[in-house]
Amino acid sequence: MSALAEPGPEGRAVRPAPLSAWLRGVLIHGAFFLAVIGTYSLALVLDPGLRRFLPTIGELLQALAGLAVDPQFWSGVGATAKAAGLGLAISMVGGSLVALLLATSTRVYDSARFLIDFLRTIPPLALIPVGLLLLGPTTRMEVTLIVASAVWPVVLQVYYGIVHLDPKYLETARSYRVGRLLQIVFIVAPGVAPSFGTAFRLAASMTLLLAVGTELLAGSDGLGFLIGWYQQARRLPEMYATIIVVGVLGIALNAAIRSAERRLFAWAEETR
Amino acid sequence: MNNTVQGRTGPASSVSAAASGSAVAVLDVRRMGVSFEDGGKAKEILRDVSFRISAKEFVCIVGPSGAGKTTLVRCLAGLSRPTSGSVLLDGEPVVGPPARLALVAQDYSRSLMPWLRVRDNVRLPLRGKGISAAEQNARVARALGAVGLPGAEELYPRQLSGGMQQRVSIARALAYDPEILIMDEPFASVDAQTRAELEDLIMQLQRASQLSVVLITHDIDESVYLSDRILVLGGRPAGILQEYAIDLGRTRDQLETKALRQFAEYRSEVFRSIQAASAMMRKDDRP
Repeated sequence: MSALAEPGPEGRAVRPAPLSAWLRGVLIHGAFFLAVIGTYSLALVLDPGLRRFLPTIGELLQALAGLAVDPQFWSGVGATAKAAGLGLAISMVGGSLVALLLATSTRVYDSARFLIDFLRTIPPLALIPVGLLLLGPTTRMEVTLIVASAVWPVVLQVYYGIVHLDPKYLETARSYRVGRLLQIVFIVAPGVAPSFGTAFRLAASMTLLLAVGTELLAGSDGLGFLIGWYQQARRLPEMYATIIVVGVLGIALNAAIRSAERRLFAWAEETR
Repeated sequence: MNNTVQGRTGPASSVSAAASGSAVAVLDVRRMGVSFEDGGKAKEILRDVSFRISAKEFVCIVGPSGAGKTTLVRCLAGLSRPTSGSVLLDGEPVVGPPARLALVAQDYSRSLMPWLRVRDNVRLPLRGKGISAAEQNARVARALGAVGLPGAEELYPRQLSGGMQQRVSIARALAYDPEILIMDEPFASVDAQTRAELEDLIMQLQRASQLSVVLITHDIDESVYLSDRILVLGGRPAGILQEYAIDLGRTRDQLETKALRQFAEYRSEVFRSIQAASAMMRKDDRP
């Protein structure tokens, strides 16, 4: 079997991208980024009136540096991370349990489908008045609102992961008298894991957005609250700096989860 | 339904019950029948299927598509229970997947777990059975060597070609150390060249061991080439319509054996028998 030495064309996912491709990516993105900054600075120079509500790059950098040593900012980061993390954890656990329940029979799924579709199409921010009314501007309200929206992608992803697990795998195991527990460990868990990973990524991005949005609109503690507060205090560079921090956090989170997914579920690459 | 039963002609369905006599039967199928409930109507798939498989015997079951071959396999492998009659393995009724029986399916891509390395795929059936880890690994290495994939342990199935993946599922069956191997159209999804290689591989493995093999196929050449005996499955409901002892010796060769006049004769006999079975089934299908 000399052919063994050369894995099939699908073997690519295992190999990392070559350095030159990586370098080219960095250059292209860097150039684009610099172009945006350049255009922005130029606009401020050409029309100084804009500076009433837009900071210069210098002010922005200064504000970012200021935030880095501002305990208030860091406690905001902590509050947002806590609410989003808690909301994410509850959404993942609760959503997975609901998905398991739905997967028990098609009848359960059919009867719950309408309710789920209804609940998940409610715009998350529309629930803020309800949350405020029932729980006030607290972290508990924030977590509740986060879960109320982020739980649905988890439910659907995990549910599809479970029902799309090929029964042939389990039947093969059964024909070899592989016990129930071993089936769960070696077949069900790894088979559903990629869907779980996707659910985690979707829910993580959502929880961050929801946390900041809720903080901004409902006034619970965190980065969103700080954005609103800086705006009212006319500390615009800080306001923009905080917005940038939120955006970078979201991108970093998504990229980190994606790369973990790619490493953990390399076997599932071609199926997604 | 009544119509179908009356319309059933052709060779007797239970011809083989007494036919394959002498050696001790490993697998003994007695008047097995299978019916399904289909939209409130009972649908009879198999009726009065009887045959015996002896130790070290290579038997192919051929039949037109839709004859209930897969249903038969599932009953032999203990994945379904027959509605009537019985399947005995070493004299014991089969009520679930038996320990000394291994099943190799057609679709390797759906039976090898894509998330497990070759080692763990082959090893999975050995887990939880009181076999030491060292012994498990030794068996995996031996089985992979036997199918011509030594050292493939660390690879994932998707890094292997289709033929190699099917070799892995054969290795998995061998590592399980069965006395009977049931193969459900095992070579139907690979190219012709690979198919010939795998046929020779499985024949050579069977000759070198105590293994009985029951191979389901719709390929007549394959059945004649591999078998000591061929059973033709057909009819509505299906039964064993014909049985052929294939006397081509134990050493066979893709070119020489297939060039033999006897080979051609067996081939046309089986072919005619299957044609008759299909014609009969088409007739029965008419409203």
